Amino acid sequence: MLPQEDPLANTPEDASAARPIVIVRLATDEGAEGIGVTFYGGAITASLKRAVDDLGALTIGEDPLRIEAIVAKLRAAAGGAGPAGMFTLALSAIDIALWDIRGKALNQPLWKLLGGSRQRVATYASGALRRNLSLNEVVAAAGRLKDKGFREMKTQLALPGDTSPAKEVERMVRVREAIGPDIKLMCDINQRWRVEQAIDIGKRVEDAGVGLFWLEDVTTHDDYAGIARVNAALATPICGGELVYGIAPFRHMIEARSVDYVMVDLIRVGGITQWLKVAGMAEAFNLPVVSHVIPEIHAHLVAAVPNGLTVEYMGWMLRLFEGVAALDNSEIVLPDRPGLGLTFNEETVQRFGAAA
Amino acid sequence: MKIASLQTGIVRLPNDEPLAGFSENPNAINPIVWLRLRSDDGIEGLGVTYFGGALTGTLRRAVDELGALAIGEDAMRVEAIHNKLRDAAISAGPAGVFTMALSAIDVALWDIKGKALGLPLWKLLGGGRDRIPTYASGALRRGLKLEEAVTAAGRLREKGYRQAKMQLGLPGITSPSREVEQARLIREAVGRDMDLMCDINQRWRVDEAIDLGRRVEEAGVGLYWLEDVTTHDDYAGIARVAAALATPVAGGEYLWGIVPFRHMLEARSVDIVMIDQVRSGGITPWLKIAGMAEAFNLPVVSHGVPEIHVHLVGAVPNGLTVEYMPRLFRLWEEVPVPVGGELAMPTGPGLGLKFSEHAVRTFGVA
Repeated sequence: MLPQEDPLANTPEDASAARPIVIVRLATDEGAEGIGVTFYGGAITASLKRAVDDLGALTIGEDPLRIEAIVAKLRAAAGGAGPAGMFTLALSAIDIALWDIRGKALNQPLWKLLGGSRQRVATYASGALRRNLSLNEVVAAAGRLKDKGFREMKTQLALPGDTSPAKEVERMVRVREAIGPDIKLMCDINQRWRVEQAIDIGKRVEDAGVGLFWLEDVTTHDDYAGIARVNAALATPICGGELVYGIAPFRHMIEARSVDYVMVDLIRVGGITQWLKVAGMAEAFNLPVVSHVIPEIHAHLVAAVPNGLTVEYMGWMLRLFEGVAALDNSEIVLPDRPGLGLTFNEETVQRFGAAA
Repeated sequence: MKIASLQTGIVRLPNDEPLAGFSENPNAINPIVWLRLRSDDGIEGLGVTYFGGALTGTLRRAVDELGALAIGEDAMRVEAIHNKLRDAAISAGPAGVFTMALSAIDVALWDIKGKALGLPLWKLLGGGRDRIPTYASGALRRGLKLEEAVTAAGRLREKGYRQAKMQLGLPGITSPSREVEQARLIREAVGRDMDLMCDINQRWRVDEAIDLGRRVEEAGVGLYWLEDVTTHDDYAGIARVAAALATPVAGGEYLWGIVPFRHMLEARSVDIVMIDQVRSGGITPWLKIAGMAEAFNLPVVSHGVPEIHVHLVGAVPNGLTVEYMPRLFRLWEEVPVPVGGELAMPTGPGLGLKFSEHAVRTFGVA
C-alpha cells in the first residue's frame, strides 16, 4: 500500500491515501527470478492478488520461455473471466515476470531483447500538475519541473468545482507562461468532457496560442467515433488508449481514426507480449506509441520499438524498485542489466506490505 | 430500505445434460458463485455469477469485497450502487471479473426490489407478454458423436421443443462437407417445422464462415440463426459474414457492458442481439442494451440462465426467445419449465427463485 506521494514536484494528490500494488515473484527451477506488478485493483485489490495467485499456480511446471503458450493456457483456464478486467490485470503481472526471466535467461536487457531501437528515450513529467491544485500551485509546480530539467510535462484540464471555458484557458495560458515556449506541454482530460465541450475548449486553447503537444482522453475512452470527431475538429494532436483492455479495442480505436498518439498501458493491455502487438499495429497505421505510468518497465518498451515516442514519468512506484533507470537531460537511459534490470526494494515491501 | 448483510458461496455443479441426455463431458464441473443479499427489513435478494473458470475463487472474493461496499446503501437505488462500486474498483472495471461480480449484486438488488414491491421482475421491468418462446440449448453439442447428436435432436422434438440449437465448427478432423452433413442430418431428425439455430462459438475465420454458411444454405438446412461466427470483437468481420449470408447472424454473448454493443450494432454485425446478464453487468445494463437494440430495429435473445432471463426477454417488446440452458438448474428448488415450446412468466415476486439448500450443501465447496 504505497503512499500517494509526488516525488517530481512535491504536490501529492492525497498524502494520506494509499495506492495498492500487487507484486509477484516467479522463480524457475534453475534459480532465475522474474518480477512483475499489477494494479488498478482499487477496492478489489485482494481479489486481484488472488487472481495472480490462481493464475500463477497454473504456470508452475510450464516452460517460462513459451510465453504465448502460457498466455493461451491461462486464457483457457480462466474461461469467460477474460478477456479484459481483472483476468487481464493479473495476466500482465505474470507476463512481465516471464519476460524478466527470459531477459535474464538470455542475458539481455529487455529493451534490447525486444528490438533495441535506442538506449535513450524521451520522457515527460506526469502526475505533478493535476487539476486539483490551485492556479498558483500549478504554476509554481510547473516552474519546479522546468528547473529540474524536464523538457516535457503534462497537466490536466476539466477543473473540479466551478469552472468555465475562460478559467480552463486561463490556466493553460499561465502554465505555458511559466515554462516558456520550448517545453512540450501535454494536457489530460481523463474522459471528463463531452465531445462538443472538447471541441469548444480545445479550439479556445488553440486560439490562445498555448501550443499543446497533445490533448489526452478528451471524452469517454470507448466512444471511438466521438474522439474521432474531436480529432478531426482540432489542430492539436489527440492522444488516447490507456483505458483500453487487450489488443482488439485498439484496432477499433485506430480504425476509427480517433487518435494521433496511441497510449498503451502494459497492465491493461495484458503485459509486454500484447503491448508489443499494439505498438506494431500502430506502426502500420503510421502512428507513434507512448506509455502510461510505470516508467520503470515501460521505458524498455518505448525504447525498443521504432515508433516509441516518449515515456510517461509517473512516480507512483519509484520506491517499490531498486535499479530504476536514471534521468539524464529529460531522457531515460536504459540499463545494460539483463531483463527488467529491477529488483524490489525489500524495505518498501516490508514497510508497506499488507496482508491480503 | 438499506442493504444489511450478504452471504456468498461456491457450488460445483455436475455437467449433466437433462434435456436430451447426452452430456458432452460428464466429468466436467460448472463452478457457480451464489449470493444472498439481505435488506434491513428482512428481504433477501439472490444473485449468481459464473464464467470464472480457474478464477472462480477470485470471482467470489470480488463479490464479497464489492458486496461489503453495498452494505448501508439504499437497496432501491441500483444505479447509485453501480456508481459507488465502479468508483471503488477504479479500473479493475469495466469488464472482466469486476463486471461479473457486479452482475450478481445487481441481480440480487433487482430481486429485492421486486419482492419489496410485490411484483415479479418481468412485470416490474415492462411486462411485455405472458409467455415467451424458448429453445433447447446445450443438448446438441459439437463434442457428441454424430449418431448421438441425431438421437438427441429427435428426443428434443419428442419432448415438445419447437426450437433447438446445434453447433458446428466440429472438433478434430473436419471438412466443409462433414460440417454440412452434420447440419443436414440434425435438420432431418428435428423435422421441417422446428427452428434450428447453430452456434460456432467463434471457431471460424471470416472466409470460412461465409463459405460454410453458404454451403449450409445451399443444402437447404434453413437455419434460424448462425451464432458467433468468428472472434466476437471483430465487428467488421462479423458484418462481412452477415452481409454475405441470407441466414440471420446472432452474436453478443461475449461482450462486456453496454458500449461494445453500440460498436457491434453500429457495424451492422448482427441481425439478432444476444445479451448475457453476467457479462453485461446485470439486469440494469441488460435492459439498456435491449432498448438500444430496439432503436436499431433488432430483436434480443438471452444467453444462459433461463430462470433469470425469462423475466428480461419477457419484459421488453423486442424479446425474441429465451435460451433454455439447464446448467444452473440444480442450484434452484424449482425452475420454469417450457410447455409447448414456451415459458410462462413466473408469478412469484422478484426472480421467484429459491436456492436449493440440498444443492448448496451437496455441491458447495469451501
